[in-house]
Amino acid sequence: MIAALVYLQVCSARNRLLAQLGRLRKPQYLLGAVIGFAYLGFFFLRPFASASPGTGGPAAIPPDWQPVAEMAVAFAFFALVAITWIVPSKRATLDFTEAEVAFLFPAPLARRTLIHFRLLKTQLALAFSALIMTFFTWRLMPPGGAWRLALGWWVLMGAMELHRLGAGFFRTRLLDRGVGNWVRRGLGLGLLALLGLTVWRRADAAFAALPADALAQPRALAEFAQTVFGQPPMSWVLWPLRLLVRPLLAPGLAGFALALLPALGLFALLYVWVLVTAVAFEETALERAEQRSRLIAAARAGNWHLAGPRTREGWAPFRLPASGPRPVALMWKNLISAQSVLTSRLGILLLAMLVPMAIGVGIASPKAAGLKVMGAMAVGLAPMLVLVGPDLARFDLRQDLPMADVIKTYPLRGWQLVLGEILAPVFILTLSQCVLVAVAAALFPSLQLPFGARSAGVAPQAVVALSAVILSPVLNLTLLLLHNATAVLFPAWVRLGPQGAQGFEAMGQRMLLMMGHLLSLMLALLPPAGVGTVVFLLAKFAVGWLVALPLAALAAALVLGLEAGLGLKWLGDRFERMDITD
Amino acid sequence: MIEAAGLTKLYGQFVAVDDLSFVVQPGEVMGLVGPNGAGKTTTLRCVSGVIPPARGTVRICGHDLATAPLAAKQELAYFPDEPRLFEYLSVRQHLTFTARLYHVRDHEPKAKALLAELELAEKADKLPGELSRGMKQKLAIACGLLHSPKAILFDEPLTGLDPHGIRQMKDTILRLAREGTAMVISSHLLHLVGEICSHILILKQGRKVVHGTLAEVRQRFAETAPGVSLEEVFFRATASTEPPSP
Repeated sequence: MIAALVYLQVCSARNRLLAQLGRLRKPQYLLGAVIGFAYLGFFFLRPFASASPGTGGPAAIPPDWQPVAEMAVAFAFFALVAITWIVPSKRATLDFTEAEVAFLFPAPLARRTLIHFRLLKTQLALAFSALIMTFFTWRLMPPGGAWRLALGWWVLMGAMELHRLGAGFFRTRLLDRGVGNWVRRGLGLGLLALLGLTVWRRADAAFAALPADALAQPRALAEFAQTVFGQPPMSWVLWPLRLLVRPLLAPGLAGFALALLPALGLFALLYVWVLVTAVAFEETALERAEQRSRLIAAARAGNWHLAGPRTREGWAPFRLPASGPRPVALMWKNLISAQSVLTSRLGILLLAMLVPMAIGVGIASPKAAGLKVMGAMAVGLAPMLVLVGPDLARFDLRQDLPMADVIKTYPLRGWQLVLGEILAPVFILTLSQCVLVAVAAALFPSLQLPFGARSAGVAPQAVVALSAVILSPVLNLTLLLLHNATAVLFPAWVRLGPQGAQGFEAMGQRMLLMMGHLLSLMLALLPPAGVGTVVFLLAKFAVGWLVALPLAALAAALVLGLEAGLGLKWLGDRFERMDITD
Repeated sequence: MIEAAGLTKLYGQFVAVDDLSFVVQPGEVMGLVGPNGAGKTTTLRCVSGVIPPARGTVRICGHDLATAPLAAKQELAYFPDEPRLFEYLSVRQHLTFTARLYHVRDHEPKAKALLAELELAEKADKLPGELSRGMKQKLAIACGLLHSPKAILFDEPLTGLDPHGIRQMKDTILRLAREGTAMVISSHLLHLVGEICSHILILKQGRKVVHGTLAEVRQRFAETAPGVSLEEVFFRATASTEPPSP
């Protein structure tokens, strides 16, 4: 029976690969693939190419520090283990796709076979995760091949996954026998508290014995760690985890092999534990599969933010009367859509972070130097938002393109549709930038006027802020047009879906797009920059710096606005002619 | 009135719709039938302006879809086979949004009546994600009917509806026909076509093989087999290599 499941996996993997290779016949995918592979080859595969035996990572942990490192990593994984036992409240489940549920659950397969199938799939996924962890950690590890490190990570993560499953099954068994979540949590927290108390008392005593320069003395620190974590009961708790961590840090091939054997033994024990404790998981697996399916469907439509559960409607930002410009209806709709990301919870979270920070900075810096630092941060954030914002605020055609067959029946010209679609992100980004600019103007240190100009009672930073505010909407409009033009011209490059967005070529495509957007923006900025410069020089001579700067910004904004208008008309025409079946 | 003349749609070398012409007068309901891949959905998409035809013209209530698209679309409603809704707009917000797009004056009482007729009134504040497939279909229909279109295109309108919903949908279509709306209904359900359509157009490989009123078509095929059913007409029309003359 397991042969059929292996067949399923092999065929799926092969067909996925063939489909991806087939796409390379199209030049845009081929180019993307070349760039994606080059990027991966340069950054990701370097450790495997360079970390030959005898050469360690550039920042390898010195041998003296390795016991401390082993203890620290084991302790970190102990925290994960504790969370696995204390936090979850739901019954155990295994991840299956909807198709797997439909085909495998009614099939004459034993539950144990399904678990084996799932474990096999998980181990393959973990192998990939192990490669990624190797990429991030090879510099810290001792001399040795990166492949050994990858194998060590695989065993460690595989064992942790088995533990997670086994613990889930065990928790479910407890629930079935009437041991509720809070009883289990109480017991777990009680044990943790006892353990913590023991550790704290030992640490308190050992800390007094530490030399002042302990951080420079690995041996002293190792002794401290040994005193605190290396004695019962903590040593008992950490022992299995240290067995799993040891292959990562073992020097040399022989050392690795010696460390790997006990780790594999533990792995095997965990595997047996999972099989022995297995409980019914089909119902929760079905629920999870449906949830995942919704998430994938939303993601394929480019709407990650819609993938989560939603129970209430967004509030209308303003009353939408039946008469008036039609594009405003699309803006209204997209402002409601934006609320799925810009939630009140996010606002509270930001306030909870910013208000204490501002108060703290204010208290710590009586002369308000700290507030000026915050002002400078706002100055940095505003232009960053110009560049990154259009990528984040996707409440426009990129979101609605999968519904093009409905949108194209609306009685609107193409340019009206495009304008309506991008008005909401333009408004949101402009508003955010204006707030940042206002914060910066209020808090940033007073500007020194260039060219010896006098301020004539007007704060110079207010003039700079005004100029930025004049430019902000047209800059956002232009950038959002570029992003939406990409979606209309190359939908497979932008939209997540069966035909695109996965694989190496998708990564290369995204990099190409980013470069393309930046290059297009720079080209678009040339004429307004030229006009703005001329206006500034003339106006400065005639009326001075303070008036010249906003005037120049206005002239540049007008030219950029004209460009954006032409772009809007062109993109609208392209959208009207766009064949959604291509 | 819906008029298509010489409508042709190409996908590369493949001819999806080949020189198709038909007229649907006010109050007429034309059933568009054919085997899978015959070009029904492509035809509806071309007639609704969703995709541009390679050749030919489409006129909605006299407005050329190519030269006066806004006037044509103002009179048109198109219902794809799957209801397409905005996941983040509630039922009520969908109607408000549609009212602005089509400039529907006094839309609130009309929306209320539509919601009541389609049994959606209690779901007015729900999001599409909270509605069943049939409810979503009804919401799409409420949005499409809000601006009182004079031409309607349905692609498989009964998919996903329960028996009550099917009856309701048939009644709605017949009421609209009585009120003078021209309709094209693409469907595989021949009994539905027999019940509610006044005309039928059978497509095969993008070409029109049979077109006329139901009575005319039955009469044409009855010459070889008296009392022929619509199903028999369909099989004969789509099986023959040479289409019978219309």
